[in-house]
Amino acid sequence: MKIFSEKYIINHNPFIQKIETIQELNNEIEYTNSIILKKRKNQYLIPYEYGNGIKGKGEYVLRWGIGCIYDCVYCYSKLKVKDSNITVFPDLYNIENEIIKLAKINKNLLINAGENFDSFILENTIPFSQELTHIIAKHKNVKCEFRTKAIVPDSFINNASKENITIAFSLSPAQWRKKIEKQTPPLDKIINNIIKLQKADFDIALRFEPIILFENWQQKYKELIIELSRKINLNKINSIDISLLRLTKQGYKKVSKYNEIIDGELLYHKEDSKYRYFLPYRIKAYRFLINELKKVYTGKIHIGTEPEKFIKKYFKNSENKFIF
Amino acid sequence: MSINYFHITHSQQQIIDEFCQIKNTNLQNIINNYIKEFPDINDKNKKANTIKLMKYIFNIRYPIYSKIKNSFEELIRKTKKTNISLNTHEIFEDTSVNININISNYNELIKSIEFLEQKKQYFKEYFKALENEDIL
Repeated sequence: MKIFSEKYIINHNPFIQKIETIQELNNEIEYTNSIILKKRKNQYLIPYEYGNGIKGKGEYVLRWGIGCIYDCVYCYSKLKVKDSNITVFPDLYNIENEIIKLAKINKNLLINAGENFDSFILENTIPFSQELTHIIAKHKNVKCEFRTKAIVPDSFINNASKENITIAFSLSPAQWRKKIEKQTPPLDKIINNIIKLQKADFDIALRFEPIILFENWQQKYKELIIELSRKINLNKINSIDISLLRLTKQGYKKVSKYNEIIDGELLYHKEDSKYRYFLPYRIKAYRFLINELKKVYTGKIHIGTEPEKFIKKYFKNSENKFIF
Repeated sequence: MSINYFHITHSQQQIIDEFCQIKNTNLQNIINNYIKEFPDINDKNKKANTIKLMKYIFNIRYPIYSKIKNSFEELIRKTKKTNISLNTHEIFEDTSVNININISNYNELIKSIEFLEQKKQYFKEYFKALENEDIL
């Protein structure tokens, strides 16, 4: 993909100036299949909106891109994209200014740098995440979580700062990855990448989300957890998040052509305007996953995107070290 | 029996379409299966037929949810035309049930308690259905 950038981004961000293939953006031209680098017109960092009644980790989402090269059937990020371009806002100059302001009022600022846009899909082309780690390292009370389904490239492993950063991999069983997370790298390559990152002393987290209750889901997740425990050092893992599929009305419409997904008893929750599996399925699925994880992992498990009431009622008294 | 015995609205049609897609079937097949299970269909009342058909579809589409919904509706039926009303979360997300008893004297209270005592088996069944993983 060709890269076009606004002059402002080139002038204010030295790491962008090093990209040899970059061309200046011409607003008169309608670009397709390109990477467009722009300055945001609004805030880069916003509080994560979990939805009514959902208690999260209190993190700020860094909105540094729109679009994706992958084609995950449940993903909402592509619903926002009107063309074939990927828009990136690699404006570290202003992002750092926002971090400084927020760090003054938040003693423990947590930034999520991969919620709306995968942290590493463009890293080989635009080393944004690598540059961001150097900014994070400068601010002692700021932590940053990079989230990805991609391979973290060697350039990042060799040059990024490790201080206060976590790399969280979004994982699902290998067969389903091919089917519903099209174009994402195969699971074995991701596992090898995690091994490499652990050897290089990066802090790694695992995210099982979204968990879709396909036929035979218990067996598939059991196999995935066993495979992970055999190949990577789970005791060095920062945390594991588990979160079942949650869809907006638009998202439900998008997945409605996939019978295997909507065949599940997904019900609409007025409280946060999302579709979720019916209560007994969620209780059963989380209990199963926690139980399987406990066999091989003793660290923190976080149940994501669920109502606080639900977690308190069914999981608060568990022996697990839950974080809310 | 043909589709002419039903009056299907636009929103009902959308539910049927989704169901047909998921189960890889068509409306005529659904009707045929429905008749096999409920042969005493009233062929003069399109509206009643449609309500029954939609319930039949709903029960297959959402087997666990409909089981619990039906169980709660049974509770509601048992308390109908009494001074007791029951409420719960629309999709049973909050498992608690509010029991509202409207009384104006002591005797009514005693009668209400006795009534609930007699119906406690239905409550037991409802809660059992809701929190029992084995139903999945």
